Amino acid sequence: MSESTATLSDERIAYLEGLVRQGNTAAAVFTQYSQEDVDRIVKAMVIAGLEQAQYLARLAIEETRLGVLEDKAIKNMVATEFVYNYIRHKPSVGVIAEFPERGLVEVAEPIGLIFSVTPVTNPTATVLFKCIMAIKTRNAVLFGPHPNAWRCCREAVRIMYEAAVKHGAPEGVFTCLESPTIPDNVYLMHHKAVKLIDATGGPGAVKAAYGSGKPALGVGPGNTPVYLEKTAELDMAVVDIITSKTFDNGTICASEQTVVIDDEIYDSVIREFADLGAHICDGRETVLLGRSVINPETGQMQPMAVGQKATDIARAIGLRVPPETKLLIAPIQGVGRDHPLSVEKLFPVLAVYRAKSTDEALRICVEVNHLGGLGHTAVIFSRNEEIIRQFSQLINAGRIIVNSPGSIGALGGVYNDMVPTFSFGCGTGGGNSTTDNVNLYHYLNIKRVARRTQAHMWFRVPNQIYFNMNAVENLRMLPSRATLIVTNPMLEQMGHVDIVRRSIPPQTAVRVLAIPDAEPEVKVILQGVEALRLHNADQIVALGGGSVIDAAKIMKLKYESPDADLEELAAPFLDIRKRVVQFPTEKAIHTRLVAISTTSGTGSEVTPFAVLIDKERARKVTLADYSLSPDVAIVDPQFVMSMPKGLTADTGVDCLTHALEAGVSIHASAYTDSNAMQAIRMVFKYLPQAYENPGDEEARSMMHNAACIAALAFSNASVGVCHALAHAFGARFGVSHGRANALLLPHVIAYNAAVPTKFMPSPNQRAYVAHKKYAAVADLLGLGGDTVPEKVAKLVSATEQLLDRLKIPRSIAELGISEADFEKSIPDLAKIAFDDPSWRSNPRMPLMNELVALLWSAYRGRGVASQAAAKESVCV
Amino acid sequence: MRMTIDPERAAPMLRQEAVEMVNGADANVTLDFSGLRRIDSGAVTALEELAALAQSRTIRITLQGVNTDIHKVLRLLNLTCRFS
Repeated sequence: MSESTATLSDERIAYLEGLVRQGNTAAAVFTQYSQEDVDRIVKAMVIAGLEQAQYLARLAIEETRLGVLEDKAIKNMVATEFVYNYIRHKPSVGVIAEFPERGLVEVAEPIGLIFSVTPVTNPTATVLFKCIMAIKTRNAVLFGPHPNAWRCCREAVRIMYEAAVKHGAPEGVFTCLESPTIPDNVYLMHHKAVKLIDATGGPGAVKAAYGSGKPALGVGPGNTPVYLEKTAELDMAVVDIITSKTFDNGTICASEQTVVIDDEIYDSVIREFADLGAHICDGRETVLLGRSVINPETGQMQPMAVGQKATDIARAIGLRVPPETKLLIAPIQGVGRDHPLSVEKLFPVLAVYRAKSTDEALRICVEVNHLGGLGHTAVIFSRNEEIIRQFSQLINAGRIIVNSPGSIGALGGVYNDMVPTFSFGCGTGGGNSTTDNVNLYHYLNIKRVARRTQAHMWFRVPNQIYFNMNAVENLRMLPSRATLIVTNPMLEQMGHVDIVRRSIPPQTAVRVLAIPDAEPEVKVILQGVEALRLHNADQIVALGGGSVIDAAKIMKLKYESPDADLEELAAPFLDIRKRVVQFPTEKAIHTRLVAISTTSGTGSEVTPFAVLIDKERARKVTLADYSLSPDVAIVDPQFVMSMPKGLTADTGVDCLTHALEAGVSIHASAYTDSNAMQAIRMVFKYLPQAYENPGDEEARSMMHNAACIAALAFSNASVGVCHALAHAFGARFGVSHGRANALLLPHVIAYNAAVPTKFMPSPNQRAYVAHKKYAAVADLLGLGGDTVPEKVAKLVSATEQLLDRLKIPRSIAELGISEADFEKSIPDLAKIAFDDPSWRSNPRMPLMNELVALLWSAYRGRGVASQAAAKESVCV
Repeated sequence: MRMTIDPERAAPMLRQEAVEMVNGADANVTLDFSGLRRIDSGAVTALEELAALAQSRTIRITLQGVNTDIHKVLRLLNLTCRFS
């Protein structure tokens, strides 16, 4: 028991426990109620509250001696009618919102028993408001009213309770402390059955609520600055301020405290105030007022003034004012402890400040805001939208009321479309958890039912793909004013460029740019862009292997969008749909890119990828975006008939790796599968033939098509962990990409076919099917086997046999890399491979130690198939 | 021993007949809730008292046919563990 509750007697504790038990039971029982039930009960309560509005106002006045009867009656009506108008059609039970396009449903869950602290300034209206909110949300409330207002609150609770229970609410749904004390509050705030504390009141209650360690809605005091700007509608502004500041004798904490008036209008505004019943204090009176209504030691308002009439305050401090005086206006020269009237004053005393400029006015408003008003309310009267915007940005307030009264404006629903409330959230500025006008949604736990989303899939390929022998002749059908052929010197020497030139319409101006046959550097790209500009080209024909075509893709990008920042466009991404950096869509020039591949592996003629070398930083930069895809692909085998055997083997295995990785990718679809499967079948059949009989036109043609078809698959399904490791290993040891893939491929198939240590977290992966898809490949190839593991083992074996037939080294060790050198490189290789985006679509999420194990398997080499078979026999 | 709870008078039944049954029982007691769509505050309070009585007499009370809404109410009040 804490010190504060030590004074509670056993009888008092039993009393409090009884209230908690009733409320807790009612809250549990209430969970069974339907929307129709609560709406029926709420309506009855609202009517009961409206009928008793004046009665409750009178009780409040009699007990608290604060405020104005008529205004309190209005408040009670706002707390019932206006609040009801806001909530009547709002669902609060079960499903309260549905977002089918996002697969989201929001379901309301009641909170349970709420302990609610209510203030002395707005006692009955706050009770009415909270009772209605609680029933609407199926919660029970135990009220802890202010000790000076507990009788009127008890009566308000009784009226609400009787109406509610009469219409079916659970017994015990509302209870109210009698003769409440601070130890009662402390006890209840720490009670385990209390699920939420809703404290509306002074700073002490709010602090205690938050200090309890329970979820709390604590909303407290303010200090509302008002900027009366020179463009404002002055007559309206003055009436609004008087209406607001005198409403219930200024007891609403959102009411105006200091009005900052532009110099140009100051005198006329003050005159208007005086004409409408305000007393303008002179210097002596201001000092007297400040000394009397503000405690000079604490700097806070004196309780004797709170909620009192202006004339009564004047009389109490010996100030002579006319009997019809509504408001005491005190000019101040600054803000802070030296200017006592610059603080919150919940009575009809208003400070005014004459500002020489807009900047000064804004600064003073900020000072007032920081003098106890952070997060609460601020008011501006202006017709200057820019100044309103500036004010809104400078002032920290949950409610910024424009051209209307602060107190009634902040309540919401009367002068504006804010949510009606009797509890103003002040955000972190006020030490609160919300800046909202507290409403029914703060009385609910909102559950989100999130359905699995299906990422949009696509199959994006170049507009036109021409294939088979002499397909290059289709260039004739592509009109162009000026064409730049990008190629390499070797192909120029071999006469391939001449073949292309002959196919371009004679009226087209053609120039040739020969670039080094290596992954392009930035300076090569810039040379290309310059050549395109000088030639004023409208078409690029890229003739070459992956490096040339990649270079042409990037040249086109920079030519069409000169501001494209290659460094930024290469920023990493996890999901292409959500990437941070977008490729340019607005282009200065539109150019057609025709890609003619002279190797049968990369498939760059149809892919959306391009690699360039950043020599300064000694690294490769990969660009990926569908805007990089060539417009036209020409897959003409005449350009690959003379490929050397080694290149035929390496590029052919690269093609096989593309197809196999796309086939088991988590982004695979029926569209990509059909291409992947066909490419695999073609590689197994034609790659050995093309390798062993380089002049075999059919085999060359089929392998050239297979490379393109595999690229169509991986352009849309991506690749996997084999590519990630091959990129890292190949770059480190200078091994060609295809060969690096070949060294890893059998090991990766076996790895992906085993039950993953970690699955890839992706909504696209609806089941783990990699092993089954490998088995389907084995079936397609007619490899035999009865079970999935058998078929996978046969696929691994067939892949090894293919590599043997292509005379590709079968271990990294065979490349002459020492075990010591390799071991030294392993940590870096694993890290680089893990950062490589290629594996993001792998069916199995690779762990670092698994990447290391794969690298070592590839180092030691062959035997994967026999290991897989052995494992199968053990399983059987 | 077994008793079917009448949805129209659940609270009085639990307060009177069920108490008498528990007082007179020397074995376990089953209360059939299958006719109840909802439970009110009075019935909940009566159940709490019945659980205390059964515990003092080392009688086990089984609640049968409790629907999910009522089960949630009993769970919120930590009553499910006091019945089978």
